[in-house]
Amino acid sequence: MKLVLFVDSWAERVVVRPDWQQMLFFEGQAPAAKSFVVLESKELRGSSAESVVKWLEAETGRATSSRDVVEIPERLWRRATLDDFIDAQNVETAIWQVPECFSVGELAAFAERWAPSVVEHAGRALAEPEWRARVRLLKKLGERSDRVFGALYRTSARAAKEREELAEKAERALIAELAARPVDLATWISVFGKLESWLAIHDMAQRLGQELAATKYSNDDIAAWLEQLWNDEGARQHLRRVPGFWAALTGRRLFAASVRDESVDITNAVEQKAAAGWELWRGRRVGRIVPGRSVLMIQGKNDRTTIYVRGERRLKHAAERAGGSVRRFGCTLTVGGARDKSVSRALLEVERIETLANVAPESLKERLAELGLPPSHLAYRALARVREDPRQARILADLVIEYTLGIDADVARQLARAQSVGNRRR
Amino acid sequence: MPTLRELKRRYKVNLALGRALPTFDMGVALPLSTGNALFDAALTEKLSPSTTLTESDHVARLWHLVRSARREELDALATQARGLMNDAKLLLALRAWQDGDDAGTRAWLRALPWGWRLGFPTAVIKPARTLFTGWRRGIEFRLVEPRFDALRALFRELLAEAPGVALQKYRASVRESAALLKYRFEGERERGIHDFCFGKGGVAAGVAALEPIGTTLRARDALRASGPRAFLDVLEASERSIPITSFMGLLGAAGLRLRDSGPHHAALRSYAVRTATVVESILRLTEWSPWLDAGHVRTLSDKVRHAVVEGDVVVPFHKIVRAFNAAPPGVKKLVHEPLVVPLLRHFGKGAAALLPAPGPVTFLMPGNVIHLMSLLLYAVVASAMPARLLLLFPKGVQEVEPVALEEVCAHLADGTGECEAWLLERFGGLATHNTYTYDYAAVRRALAGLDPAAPLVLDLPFSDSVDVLEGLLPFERVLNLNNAYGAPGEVCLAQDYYLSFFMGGKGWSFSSWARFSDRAAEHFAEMLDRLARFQALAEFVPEHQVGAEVPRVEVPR
Repeated sequence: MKLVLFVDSWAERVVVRPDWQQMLFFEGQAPAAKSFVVLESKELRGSSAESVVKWLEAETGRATSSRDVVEIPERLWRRATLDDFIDAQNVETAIWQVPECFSVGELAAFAERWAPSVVEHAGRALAEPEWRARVRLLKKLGERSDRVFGALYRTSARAAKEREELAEKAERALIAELAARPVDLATWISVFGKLESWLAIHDMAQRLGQELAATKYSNDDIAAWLEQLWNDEGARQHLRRVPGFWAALTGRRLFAASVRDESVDITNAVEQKAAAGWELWRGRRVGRIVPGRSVLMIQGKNDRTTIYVRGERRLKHAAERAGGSVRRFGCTLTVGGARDKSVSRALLEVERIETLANVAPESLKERLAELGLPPSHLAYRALARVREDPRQARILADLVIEYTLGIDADVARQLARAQSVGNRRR
Repeated sequence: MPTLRELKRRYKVNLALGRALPTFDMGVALPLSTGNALFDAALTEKLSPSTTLTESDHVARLWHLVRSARREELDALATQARGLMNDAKLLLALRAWQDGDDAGTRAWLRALPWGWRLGFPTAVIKPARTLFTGWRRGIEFRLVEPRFDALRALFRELLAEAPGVALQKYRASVRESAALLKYRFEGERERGIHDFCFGKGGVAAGVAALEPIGTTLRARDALRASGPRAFLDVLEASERSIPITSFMGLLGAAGLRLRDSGPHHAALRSYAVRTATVVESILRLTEWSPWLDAGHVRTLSDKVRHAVVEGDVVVPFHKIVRAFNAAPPGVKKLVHEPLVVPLLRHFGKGAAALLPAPGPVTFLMPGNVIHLMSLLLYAVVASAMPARLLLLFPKGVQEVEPVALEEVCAHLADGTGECEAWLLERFGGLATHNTYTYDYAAVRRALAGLDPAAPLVLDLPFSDSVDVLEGLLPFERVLNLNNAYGAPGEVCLAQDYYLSFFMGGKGWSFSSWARFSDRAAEHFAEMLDRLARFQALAEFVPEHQVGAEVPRVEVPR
């Protein structure tokens, strides 16, 4: 039996894992990490670690226990080539590491040597007139095809790896050259937009962020450079993937209010933590937004820009209590809008009723009176007993919520909670 | 003393009767009960939203239990005041206030942190301000009658007792309480407090009894007027250090950052290290990593020895370990010996004290993945009491030689390769097995060889076996860091499994899970502490009262 095994590193030594159940080390001269070795012997009975250990015990005459570190002597392994994938027993599991170890050149040479053999196997199978023989040949064709194209399929991953390495080397040199010269942000942005290597993109984005964060740039300067980055398609996309750029600018108060003297409907706004990024930069901001703090976010629809309102869900309650609108940050924030029966607005009331039922149940008397329920109604009984039994508060709240707002109270509680991410007592 | 299985049985009874919360609604999720709903709530309930209850549900529930409590229940709780949840202590103080029990009120307040104490008048007059967050803080209701004159007298006492640093840290609480009380500040010290809370601080700066407030205000003015040198001169001339939060706030307002370089930065850094408390220092390890040097670490180490090891400051295990893990490798190597090992050793002593004889405590873990956090937990406990470590493999269970805390800690600062090399050296071939196939029959046999009265800590992720359950049945104290097997003497500390991939169809599925027991290791000490409290309070609940209707005090309308 022949096994091809990927050589990995662990504990600062190289190891192979025949079936990922146990690690085996090397005695004497060890192979290089990120390579393949071959174990081949007629006495080797299986591809599991247990089988390999048994074979090694027989070959070396040394019994091992679970406390022993198992090592493969130099004489029992050899370096593998791609050609070993044609007849090794465990190709299916080993093939995933092919891009780690074999170059595009080696894969191309492998293709030249072995791709014709697939065509040859196919021709032989198709030419066979006897059906049993043809079945056998088709099976062989499948096996050969799996091995040849299984390895060749990994060419794309290897090509991507080589492309990334090549681009990274060249682009890092370019970045180093730019860094050695006086800062020219326009050139930096132009170069940044064209970068291909992820590591170079990351490096350059960090440099851009740190440069812009320096005190010599005013907020207006930064805003102008951010616009230039936005207008460069490549730079814009790169910055979506590098939060470190925005993190570097955290100390600058970048997200100043951009909306004043407008009416903003916050009925359906959802509370969330503000995150620095293009969305916040391009969004409309009511009040200065600080990344990491709570904002009410109103998702833009039909190409309308997202609106961020500084503050928490309590703003909605403030507006509701004030009769539907409240002035904040130079704008009028409203709840309810055109739709009186907005669920989002009703949720504010749900929270209020539920809280009052627990801590100030008498304040719900007026609401109960408005419902015109008979004095013997369960809601009145719950109100009468709530002081002695706090479980009655839930009954009272559920009934008032259902009768006044027409919403299942349990569903409404979950909805209200989902709209409020921050604002939690620790 | 009631056993773990007895506390679990009481929980089942009270849960069935609706007197105990399900674990998902608890602040500290433990399926244990003293047999008394008030005691249980005081040990595990928090006034914050849980899976099915809102914050106001919890307020109504806990307040009902507190205000209808019998005198003997209140007396029993008072014996464990330090171990109760702060929310419960505040409500118990309110109950004492309602009863006109001034001594009781003061006793409960003394068990609360200063921020809560100084906010007590607010809790009496406008409880929503202290019990809730967000819009609910504006809700008008009261739990007790204020008795304003008595409350002002109490507030005066609190202000007199409060050290300057507490007044500085909780200025907002003082301001709010004073405003609601319409409090008249009298005498030099109180007028200084008034000026600090409501004025510009000119008067407060001159009141020596309010230090370090004066130092902070003078330093602020010096920084504004003359820059960092004058700022440092004021700080160094004062006998009292200002809180690190104030120090960093002043630096931030002046545009100074400790990681920058400048003529005064070395002195500013030294002051920061000197003034930070132990917990604050640990939490800032990463932030300070660019400039922290051996001299700074010596200062921190001395402080740890004084405050934690020789004093009685409690530093939670998870805060130490989390902050340490988050620090860059260089800082880890710098601080692990002088700072982390003494703290963990101290923590181990505390944990051992909560695990009374008989011992030893046995840790049972998988051999395929040596989880460093669990190994650390083992080493921490083993540093303070006899402990055994059993590793589970596909063929049998292996007991390994004791691992010293210093040895584990030294390698927590390692890179991946270094740490693996240590595991290989320490455990030999045992560290090279990766299989998740375990020999459960061997576990059962190994468990049969242990003393069932001694504590057993299980950390066996992704394993489910009737063999293990069978082995666990006689045990009295099984602390499981993973999913429970269901043995009567077993309690599950935490289980965090994260689904990273799932595919499924009719009759089949494939999924990939990740699991972390870090939180379980964190909960270990908390659980032991809670267990001791549960046992102590359960002794006040006679067996005949478990599950029976217990008369409550009539609640005034």
